Amino acid sequence: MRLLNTNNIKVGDKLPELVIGPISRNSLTIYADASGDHNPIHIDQGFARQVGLPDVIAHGMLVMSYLGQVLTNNIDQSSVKEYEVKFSSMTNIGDVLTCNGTITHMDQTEMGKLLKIELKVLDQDNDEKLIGESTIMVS
Amino acid sequence: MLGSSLLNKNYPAVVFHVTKHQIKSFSEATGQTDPLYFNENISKKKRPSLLAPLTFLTVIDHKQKKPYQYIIDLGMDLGRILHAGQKYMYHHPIYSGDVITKRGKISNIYEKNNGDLQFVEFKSYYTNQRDIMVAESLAIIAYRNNI
Repeated sequence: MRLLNTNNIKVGDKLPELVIGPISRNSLTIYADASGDHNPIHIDQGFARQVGLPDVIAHGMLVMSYLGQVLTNNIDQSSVKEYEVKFSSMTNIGDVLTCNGTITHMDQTEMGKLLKIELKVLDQDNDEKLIGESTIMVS
Repeated sequence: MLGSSLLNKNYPAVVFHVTKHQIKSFSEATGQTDPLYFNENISKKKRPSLLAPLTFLTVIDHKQKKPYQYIIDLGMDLGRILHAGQKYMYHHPIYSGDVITKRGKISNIYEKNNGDLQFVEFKSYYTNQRDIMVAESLAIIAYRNNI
């Protein structure tokens, strides 16, 4: 895997985007088993309808996991110090997700190079699914 | 507000054995491609074993006997909760073979939109078998009061 050369980047640079999907029922079932998150809202259509949704929705943590690859595809995981997201809207079956990251802050500190990366997931209609931020320290 | 007397309630420590199988299956389910999560021989050049990906901590949160106990204690019904946000702070890598102890507490309870939405924050601390704090997390849960 080819990592970002942090000597050669500036604020405003974008990390290579990642396109995921379409999200399938099967991918939610597989994620439920692998993660242990068996909340029926993600796997049982009848349950989802009972609580006022048209269908099951994707696990937020699955979408956060996809987005995290925008970081770790380009940056050594040991440099990732913080990773946080807010889930803005529900991710539905059939959605195609575009995950992207932009460098918003860069600072040379005693510990190394500190970066802030703004992160976002949009669907096929450009609706925001998730926004986030990561703090990176490259020593 | 539901369960506001439970602010700062601590939950019993949960011990979790990280296996290669769990790292591989979680990595596969989340579409990871980096061999560090799958191939021990590649991973081993620089690391003791398979590396857990950034969001693997959620497996430790969920693969326990009562993952939603604090939601139940708050009097909330599972169909009305939404995951509103998640934060991780990473201090040390987690590898297969590690034994992670998670300690957690309800760290904040508040409401928005005149009570239509109630929020609960659950803070967790994860330490490994050498008593090194490997990570911290904050889960933000929203509860829909009006459906």
